[in-house]
Amino acid sequence: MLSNEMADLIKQRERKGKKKKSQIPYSIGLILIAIILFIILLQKQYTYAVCWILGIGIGIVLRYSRFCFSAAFRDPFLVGNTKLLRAMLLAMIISTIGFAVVQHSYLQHNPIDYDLIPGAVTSVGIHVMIGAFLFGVGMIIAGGCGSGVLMRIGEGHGLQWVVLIGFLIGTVLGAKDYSFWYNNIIEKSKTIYFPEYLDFRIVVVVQIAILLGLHRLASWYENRR
Amino acid sequence: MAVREIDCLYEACPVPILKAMKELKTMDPGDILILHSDHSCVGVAFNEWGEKNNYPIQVVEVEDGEWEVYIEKPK
Repeated sequence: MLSNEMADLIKQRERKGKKKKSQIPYSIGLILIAIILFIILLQKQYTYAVCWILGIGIGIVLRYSRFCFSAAFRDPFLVGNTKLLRAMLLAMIISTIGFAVVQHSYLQHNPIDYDLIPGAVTSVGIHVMIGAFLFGVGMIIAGGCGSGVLMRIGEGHGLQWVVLIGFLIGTVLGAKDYSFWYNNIIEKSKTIYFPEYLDFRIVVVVQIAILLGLHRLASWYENRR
Repeated sequence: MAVREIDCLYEACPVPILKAMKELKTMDPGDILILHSDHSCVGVAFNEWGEKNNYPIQVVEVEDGEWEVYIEKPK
């Protein structure tokens, strides 16, 4: 509940006569540009047109849900809020089921080949830990992960343009030094694809059970604080 | 009742909440803190945080893309 003092203060400070500018004309213009681009792409490159619409959709969902990967991992430690972390775990459960359907139907007709299985099946090793740690530090300082930064640029933030430039520099440097990482670590580490060792259904059930357990753990952690 | 203002313009997501937490510790019950921010996540973040910690909170969009968060220290 708001106290009277606060309501009074807000009223006092309200800037009178200053009207917000309507932004509807801009949005109509942008929607028109998006539709025109879609039609042009549809005639030339079907895949690009689909990606264009999917990308816009993902952007809108990210913006309105305030879904932020960096906040998902940061808030539990800083303010004890695990709402976004739990949302991310739910998203992982859903994508587990989706990829299970896709990969299962692929594996019924094809042999196991890490490069061809739908989804990124890559090696796991110390390089994942190093990369994840660096990325984690960077995304907390920058205030957003890859998708978050792009979404905020679209929203009109200026700071995230600087982050994007840093992002590009980092990507180029990463591509330049990839051979170092590949020769020293990635080549030696093993690719583990669970369906190779266990029945596909068991793998999916176990993964969902672990994710649900983490979900439970997160809500327990939030209530404890 | 004292009113304090802190300027969090151009600060990215976790900073405003941390600054507010630090400032609120030094304030007396019933005091009001006004936080200026231009970060769009701030409103949602503060409302959730306030609801959990029983802080009365009001977010006002004073201009396009600029918000004022009113926080009262509970008595």
